[in-house]
Amino acid sequence: MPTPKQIVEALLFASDAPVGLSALAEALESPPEEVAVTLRELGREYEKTERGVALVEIAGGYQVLSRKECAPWIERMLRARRKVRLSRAGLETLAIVAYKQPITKVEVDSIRGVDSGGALHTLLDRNLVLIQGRSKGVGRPLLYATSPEFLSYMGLNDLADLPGLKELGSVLEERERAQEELPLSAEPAPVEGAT
Amino acid sequence: MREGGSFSDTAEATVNSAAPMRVRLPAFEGPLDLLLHLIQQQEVEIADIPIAKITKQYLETLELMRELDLEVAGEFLVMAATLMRIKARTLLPAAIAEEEEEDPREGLVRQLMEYSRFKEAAQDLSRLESDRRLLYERGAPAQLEDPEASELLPVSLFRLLDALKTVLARQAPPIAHTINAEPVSLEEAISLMRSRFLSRPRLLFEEILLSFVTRIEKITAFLGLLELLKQGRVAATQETLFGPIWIEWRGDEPPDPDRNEEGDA
Repeated sequence: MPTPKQIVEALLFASDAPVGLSALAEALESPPEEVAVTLRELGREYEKTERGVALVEIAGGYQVLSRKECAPWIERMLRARRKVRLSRAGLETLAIVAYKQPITKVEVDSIRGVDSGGALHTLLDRNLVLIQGRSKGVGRPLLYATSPEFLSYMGLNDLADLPGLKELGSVLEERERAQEELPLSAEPAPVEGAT
Repeated sequence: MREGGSFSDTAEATVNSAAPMRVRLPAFEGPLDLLLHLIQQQEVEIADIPIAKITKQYLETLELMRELDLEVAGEFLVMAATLMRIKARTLLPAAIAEEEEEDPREGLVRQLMEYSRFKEAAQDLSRLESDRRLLYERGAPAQLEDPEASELLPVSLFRLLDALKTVLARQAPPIAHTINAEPVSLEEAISLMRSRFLSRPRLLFEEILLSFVTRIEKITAFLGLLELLKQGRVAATQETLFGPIWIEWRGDEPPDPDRNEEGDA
């Protein structure tokens, strides 16, 4: 009979995306609190035994990822098999969606001063952004928000971990404050099948 | 991906042997971006935007873009009109201007500030992206990256335009021009640059353009460089933000997406 720690390690190994605590607890048929303790132990063990991989809390779940110090060797072996970086247009659009979600395309366009249709399309294609619904405004435009994959892609555990927007002047403060009160989705679901 | 980080994969250009080349400005190089770039050059705060000076430079850049036959997106023209309207209002005599409660620049300043915050936020995300890319999950990622591994800064179109402006300004305008020789065609300019690259794969942007004599040849060479950038045959990089621009020869073959299938050499 394997120990819970062995099972947790096997579950994380078998998954190529972050696994949520509840999914692990369900598989183990144990209470989540117990699994959380096991996860912490496993993480500490990885640290102590100086492994090439680490247990990372990401996108509201857990995942075994290679240590960043090992990146040069992985890159040497895998060569060009890396994901394409986001373009400047993509990053700008993604930043606006991330901090102002849910947001319509027209609002994104007005902040950037250019049409962002192409950038939004790319972000949708890459599953970093999703359509959350429709605004109640005129024409009921689509509302865009970030996806769970966005958190995983940026190495964040939660939207609350996004770096704060820098204040540039008092002009905007009031308007921003209203925006910041938007509820951010509290517990993103673990990513499924992200490669 | 259609919109890439560096200029090279975003500008769209078509070359016909005789027809003038049209380069479409990448979507992300919008009017707000250009304004921020000009303000940054002036080293002034966004709130203190020197509207007359910036308007002049903005229109000059547009003019240069037109001269290069770059397709100027409608948003650029709308912004030009906005700038000129604001400028006109700031020039109103004080007595009339007093009736206006707010600084005519206010709306624009607010827009620029908001945009600039998100530009910074985009840089934050870019850093997160870079950090995350060092952590690998099991299995190889599906998408491929062209072998642009260099960590040098990609050069934006605006920086290239600035550099072109500098080179062109260095040349005294001809008093009279007689067109006696057929000017260099785009293909010839590309071919000339190519042979220079083959003897030295890394050249300074300025030194390339200065090897072309007349203004029209320099502009043709510039368009040729844009085309080479777009094809991925050269890369434009800088070591520091305002440092010299290097153009690096990458080779005639476009990056081969199946390259990694051959395994490690």
